Amino acid sequence: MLLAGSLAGVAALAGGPLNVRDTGDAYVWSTLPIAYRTDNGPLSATVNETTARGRVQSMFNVWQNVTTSNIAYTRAGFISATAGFSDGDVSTVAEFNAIETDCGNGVQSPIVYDVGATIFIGLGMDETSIIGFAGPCAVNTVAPFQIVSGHAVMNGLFQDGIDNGVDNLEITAAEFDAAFIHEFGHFSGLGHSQINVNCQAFCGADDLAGLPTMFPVLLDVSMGTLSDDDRAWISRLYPQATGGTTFANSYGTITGTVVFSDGLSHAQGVNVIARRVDTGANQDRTNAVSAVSGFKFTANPGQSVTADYLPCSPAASCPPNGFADDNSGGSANGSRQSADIGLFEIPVPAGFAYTVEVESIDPGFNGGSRLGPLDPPVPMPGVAPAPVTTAVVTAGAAVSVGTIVLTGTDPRFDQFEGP
Amino acid sequence: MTKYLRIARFTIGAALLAAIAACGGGGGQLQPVVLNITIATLNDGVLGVAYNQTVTVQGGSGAKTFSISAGALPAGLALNAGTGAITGTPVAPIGTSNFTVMVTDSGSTVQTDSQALSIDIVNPLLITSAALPGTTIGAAYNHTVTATGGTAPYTFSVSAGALPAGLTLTASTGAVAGPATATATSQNLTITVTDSSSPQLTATQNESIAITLEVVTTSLPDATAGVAYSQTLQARGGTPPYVNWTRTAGSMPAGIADPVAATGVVAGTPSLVCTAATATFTAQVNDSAVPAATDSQAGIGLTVNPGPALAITTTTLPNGVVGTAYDVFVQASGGKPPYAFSTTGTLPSQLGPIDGLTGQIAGTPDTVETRNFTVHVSDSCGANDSQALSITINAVSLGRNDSIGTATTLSNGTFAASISPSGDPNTAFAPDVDVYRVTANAGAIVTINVVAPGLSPPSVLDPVVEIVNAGNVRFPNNCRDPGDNTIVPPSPVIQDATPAAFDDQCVNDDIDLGVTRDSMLEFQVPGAGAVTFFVRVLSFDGNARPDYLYEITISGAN
Amino acid sequence: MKRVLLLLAMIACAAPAWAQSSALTIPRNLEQLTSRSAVVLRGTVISARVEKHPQLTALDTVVVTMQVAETLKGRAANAFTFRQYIWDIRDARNAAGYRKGQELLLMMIAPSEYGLSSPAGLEQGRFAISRDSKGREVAVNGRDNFRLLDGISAQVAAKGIPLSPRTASLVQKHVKGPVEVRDLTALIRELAQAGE
Repeated sequence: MLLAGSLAGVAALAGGPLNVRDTGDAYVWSTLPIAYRTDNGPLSATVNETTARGRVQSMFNVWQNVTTSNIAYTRAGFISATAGFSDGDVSTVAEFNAIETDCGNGVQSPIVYDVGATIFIGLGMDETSIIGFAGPCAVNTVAPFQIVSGHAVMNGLFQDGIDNGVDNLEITAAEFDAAFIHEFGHFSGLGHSQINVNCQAFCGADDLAGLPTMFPVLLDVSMGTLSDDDRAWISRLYPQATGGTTFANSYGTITGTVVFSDGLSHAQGVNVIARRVDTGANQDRTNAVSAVSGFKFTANPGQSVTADYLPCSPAASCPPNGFADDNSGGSANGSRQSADIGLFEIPVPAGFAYTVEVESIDPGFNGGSRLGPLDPPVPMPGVAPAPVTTAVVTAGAAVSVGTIVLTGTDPRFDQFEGP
Repeated sequence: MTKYLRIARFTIGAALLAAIAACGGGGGQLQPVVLNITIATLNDGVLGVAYNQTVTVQGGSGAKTFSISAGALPAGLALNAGTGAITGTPVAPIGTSNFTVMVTDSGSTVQTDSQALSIDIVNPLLITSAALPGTTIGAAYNHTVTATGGTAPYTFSVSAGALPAGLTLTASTGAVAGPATATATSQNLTITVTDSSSPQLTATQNESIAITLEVVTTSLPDATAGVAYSQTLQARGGTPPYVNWTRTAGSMPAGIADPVAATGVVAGTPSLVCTAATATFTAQVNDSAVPAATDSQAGIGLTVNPGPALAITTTTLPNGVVGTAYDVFVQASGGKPPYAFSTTGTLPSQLGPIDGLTGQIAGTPDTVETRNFTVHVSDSCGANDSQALSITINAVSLGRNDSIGTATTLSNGTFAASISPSGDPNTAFAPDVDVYRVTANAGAIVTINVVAPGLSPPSVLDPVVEIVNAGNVRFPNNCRDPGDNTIVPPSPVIQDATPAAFDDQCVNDDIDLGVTRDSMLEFQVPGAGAVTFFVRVLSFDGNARPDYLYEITISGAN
Repeated sequence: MKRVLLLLAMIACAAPAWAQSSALTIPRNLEQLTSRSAVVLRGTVISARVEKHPQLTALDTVVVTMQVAETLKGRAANAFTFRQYIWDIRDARNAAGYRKGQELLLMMIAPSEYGLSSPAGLEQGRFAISRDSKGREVAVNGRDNFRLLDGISAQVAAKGIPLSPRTASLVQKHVKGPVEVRDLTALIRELAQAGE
């Protein structure tokens, strides 16, 4: 059974999967190549259907061209007709609703061109600022819990050649495409990633080179080019297993656990960056891969105490049991294995040594810009220790840096408790 | 005078008829009844008091005629010849008059009879003594009620009321003797004297014997500073109840109130003193007689002795745990605060110094060690005491407070805590819950407020609070959610129909919808007596980590 | 070739796009957000529930009700309810991040013909209000207020809006991070009035 909406509950996960199952494993597409369908209409008055179609394929190709990943996409044709929609050109909210039924049922994965932002306006979305959106649409609710459909909507106002400086602004094609390369990363099952966060204030060339495409904020068109972090994670989610270049013979894994000062309590939600050891070319800024500690662990285990708090009338309006504050189920996503709470696993290109450092997730990365399992992000407790340097990571190997102990955190126990 | 047997005026009883018939044999004629004076004695007479007595006869026939055949009646009295009645008012002299009364009937055979009689004439019986005087308890008392007239001997008695306690009346003599005893109070009574005349004469006299009102208390038992004291001033005599107790001179010790007017109670808690001190005062009281009597007693002394000596009562201090906040108070009692604490020797690292006023030793120890030291205390009287103590700091844990059995006991106040990590070590995921044991009297309203500190960005903890019984069962309808009074929840959440009533189940998440990070309950304690219940604090998301900080504030508990 | 200058130039043209979990927006400053908004309010979320749109039944929406503390632009009753489209299926589970008890400042565009609305600039027009370590109320949007006040100085000057020295200093210096609520609301009011 397909159920749109069952994938939710956990924030986008940094430099890694968009979401994880209750096992901690990432949600990935069930079938490769991922079949998508494009709108049979222009993107705008200046971007016709053919051009739009080609650009969409180019955006997907950026991901598909990662040699260590077997991710692949195929255009299955125009958006299929369905009840309430027949001409392949989604141009009204009603038609959008019609194809969304299909998407929600895993029938097709539409890429919609919203000429004049009609759909955005009808959906009550700020058409003057939203370039578009994309992401998974439906997942299987039975094993193996995989993504079966996705969707994207592109706002043609930003590609119509008109910039009136007020409510019809324009961005370049490169910027537009870079934005959707990022969005198609989400479409494929990737979350946000934080590396070189200083780029929000000042970004040198090397830092810019290391800025992931999946950084929550698109700062530069160059982010349309994948970084080490993007390649590492798309490869881990969709590892290439055949041919001369595989994920296994190209990547190793750096693992470890971030803990509080007591050396025991796991700290979830801390950004961990593995930077290649610099040999003089600022590789530590340009070649880095990240993960958020506890990315496999649920952010919301739930508790039964509020299961019957704040009753609703009718009860059906407050699923699942008729109480507004019911958190007895917690999140369906993420593991509940305590060893995963502070665990990080970073896929890194093999053959290099890395320094491993920790930092807070930028507090601005919340809500739609969220990164990591916790939303809003929790400041890293205490002070980060000095980075740890690994040995050279060999292909297929997992290198553990053990526990990264934060200093100066709140004590493990309060005044009333002890171990 | 012809005497008749006036058969028609009375009924001949059957026995007499039978007697008459028997005597008459079987018929024949009735024989006449013998005439007989039947009275043998006559009443005494009292000078000036009307006399009336009749000489009675039986038998004879026809009308009877009475006469004095010898002697004479007392002066003033006369015999009615036809009836035999002796009447009149005796006049002097008193004495006995002897005489013989003869009666003659008027039957066909005239009969006569005679009887020697006498009449004593006496003076009226009177109590001649003055009213009995009042007395003081314990004072000698000897007064006699005297009487004249009538015929001795006399008999005296109390015919109404009673003599004051301790006074007695001798019946044969009229003597009233004492002394009045301690419980004696003023009394109104009636004394009656009875003579030996025939018939007896009586005389009465109303008496009012007053017993002097006295304040009895001359000193009060010692009081102890700081200890509740209550004694009652005593009075005796007069007419109870004793009222209007007042202090008319002198002073009461500090902390002791003036006597209570209605009861004479002297009460209060004497203020602390360094040495024994005596206060003297004069107490005055009224009784309830009209007009009221008054008495006072000067120089009533009340000594207040110092309370218990100054002493340090703490003999042992609990162990501490490295890295865990340590907070104890060395206790002292007795003497006269304020106290001044100090120590000699070394306290464990990061603890102290001892608070000079409160005796508090606090800090977060960082070293496993045992330290011996001495605590000294002095008070405002200059007294001193010392106590050798030690504190051992261990690495051993306090254990968790995540169950009813391991709950931390708390009372009123604000306490900092955190939802500690799950598992120990992280071998199993079990979100931590903090459990607190609280005791309050049934009927009390206990408020539990749990707040996670507001920070920017917001605190990581969103607390939930629940109140359960010893069986870990939530109280179902004893709580009030304070937010229900001010916030109307939007549809479809059902609004509390009775927001002010303590009828909600005891669980809360987000008391104030404007503040996600606090939860609060007002709990009306059910049951009877002192009730122990348990407060559970947990995170809404079910997680637990060391920075899940919160403060729990309790009020209304014991 | 990636250059810092290119970056700055692109920012000046409002060209760089901002990511939103599966949605992208171009950067908007406070004046632009205020201008785009029909209603700007500050309040507390008292309910947020996910449900299908009553007409567009394939679409997930979140219906949010706010207890309004203050209206800065437009009109809002004591309770303000809006329905926002959810396209990200993760948001369907957590009500797009709206939760009872949240204190928010929302800059809402006018509802569409389908009764759907959302914050101007999406996460840029949605501010979470909290208190800093000194107890001051501060607001931060879904992008840590990055460049929220860029270009404001020139815009207010062009509209003849006088700024207090405090606000003027804030507008000049702020790059990112929390802004005191009183400053933000004062500025929004000024901008809203000037736009009328």
